[in-house]
Amino acid sequence: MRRTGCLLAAVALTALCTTGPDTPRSNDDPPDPAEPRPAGAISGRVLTAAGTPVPDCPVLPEATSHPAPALPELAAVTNAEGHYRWPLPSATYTLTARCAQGTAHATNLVLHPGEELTADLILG
Amino acid sequence: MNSTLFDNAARRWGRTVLTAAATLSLGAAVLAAPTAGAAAAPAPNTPVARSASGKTTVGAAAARTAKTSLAGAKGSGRIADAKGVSFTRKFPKNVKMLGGDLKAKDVIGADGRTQITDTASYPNRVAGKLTFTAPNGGTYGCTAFLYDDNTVATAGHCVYFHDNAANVHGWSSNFVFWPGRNGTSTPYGSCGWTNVYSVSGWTSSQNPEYDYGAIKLNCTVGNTVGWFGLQWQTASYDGTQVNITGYPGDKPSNTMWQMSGPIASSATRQLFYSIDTYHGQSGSAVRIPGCGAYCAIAVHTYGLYGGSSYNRGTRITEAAFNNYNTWKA
Repeated sequence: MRRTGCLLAAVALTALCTTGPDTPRSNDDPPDPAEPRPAGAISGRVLTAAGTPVPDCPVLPEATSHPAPALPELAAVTNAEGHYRWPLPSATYTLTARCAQGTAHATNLVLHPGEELTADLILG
Repeated sequence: MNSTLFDNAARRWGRTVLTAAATLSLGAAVLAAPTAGAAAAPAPNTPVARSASGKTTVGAAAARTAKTSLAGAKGSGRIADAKGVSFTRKFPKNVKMLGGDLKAKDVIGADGRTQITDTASYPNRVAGKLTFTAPNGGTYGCTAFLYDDNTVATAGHCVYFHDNAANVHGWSSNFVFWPGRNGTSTPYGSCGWTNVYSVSGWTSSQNPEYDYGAIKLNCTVGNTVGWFGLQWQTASYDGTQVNITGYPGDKPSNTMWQMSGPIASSATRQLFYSIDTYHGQSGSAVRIPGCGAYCAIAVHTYGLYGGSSYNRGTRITEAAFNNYNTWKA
C-alpha cells in the first residue's frame, strides 16, 4: 500500500514536470503563442515638386531604432494617385521614394503602437 | 504496540499520499485538456489555398514522401514551348534607369551584389519579378522562382498580407510573374495565376518561421526558362555556399541582382547569411548546385532584425518540401 502510494505520487509529479516551454519540440509542433504585435502604419503620397502625384514609385522603409523590428523584404509601390501604405511594427523609420523622376526621403518617422502616421514624399 | 501505532500512521500517510497523487493527476489532466468545445489550432504547416475565383481551402497535412529533393530543369529556351504566356500585359511604367544606390541597412558592410544583365539565360531566367495587389489595395513587389513548369515559390508574405494596424489580413491577388525581367525588357513575357498557397503558421499566426508560399501560374513558362529543384535535410547547412538572386528595390527599377556567400547559421526553420539583400528580394531562392541543376534550400524573407547580424530565409524543411511537392501537382 505504501509502495503503491509512493509510486502514484511519483507518476503524478513526473507528469507535471515533463511539459513546459523547454520540452523538445518536433519540426511540426505548434509554435509558441505569438507575442502581442505592436503594429502601426505609415502612409502618404509621393508627389513632384509641383504637387503632381507620382504613380508606380517604390517606397522603401528602413528602421533606424534598435533593435530593428522584423520587416518583410517586399517593396511597396505607389498607386495611380501616388498613394502608398506600409504596415509596420512600432519603431523609428526613414522612408525613401525611389522613382523614375527622382528620389525623396522622410526621416525620423517615429511610429508608436497602433498609430497611423502620414508622410508625403516630395521629389526634389 | 509502538509498531502498530507506526503502521497505522503509515497507512494513514499512504492514503494521504494516494489522495494527493490522484488530485494532482486529475488537476494535470484538467489543465492539459482543451476547453470543451474549443477547436485545436491547426498545425503550422497545414496548407491553405485560394483560387483566382475566390475559393479558399484548408487542406490536410501534405503526404510525406520518401523524396528529399525535387529535380530542377534547364528549360529549352524556346518560347514556343511555353503555353499561356502574355507578351502584351502592361507593367507599371518606370522608364528611367537611376544611377547610384541607396544606403541599405540589410546590405552588410560593402555591397557585394552584382547586376545580372544576361537575364535570359539559365539559371538567371528562373527568377522573376512578382507584382501583386494586397487586400489593403496597395501594390507591392517581390521576387519568385519557378520550381515546376507552372509553379513558383515565394515568401508567404508575398501571397498572404497582414496589415495589423488596419486589422486587414488576407490573400493578395492580381499576381503577375515576369521571368527574367531586366528593367523594361521582358524576354519571356509574363504570366497570371490560378491558385495561391501558404500555411496556417503564416496566415493565422504570422510566424516568420512559416513564412513561405507558392503560386500556380496560368502558363507553362517553366518549359522554356527551366526551374530549380527543391531539397531538404535536417543536417546543418553552415558553411554551404549559396546564391540569392532577385529584384532589390534599392537598385535601378526591375533589374536583377545577385550575391553568393556561405550560410552562417542553420536553425530548424530558418537559414541565416550575410548575403546582401533589400526590399523586393523577398521570395528569392537561396540556392545551391544540385538537383540536376540547382536546388533551392530556403526562400529569402527578412533583412536584419532583432539584433541579429544576418539576413534570413525560411528553410525548406521536410514539411515545407511536402507542401511544395503537393502544390505543384
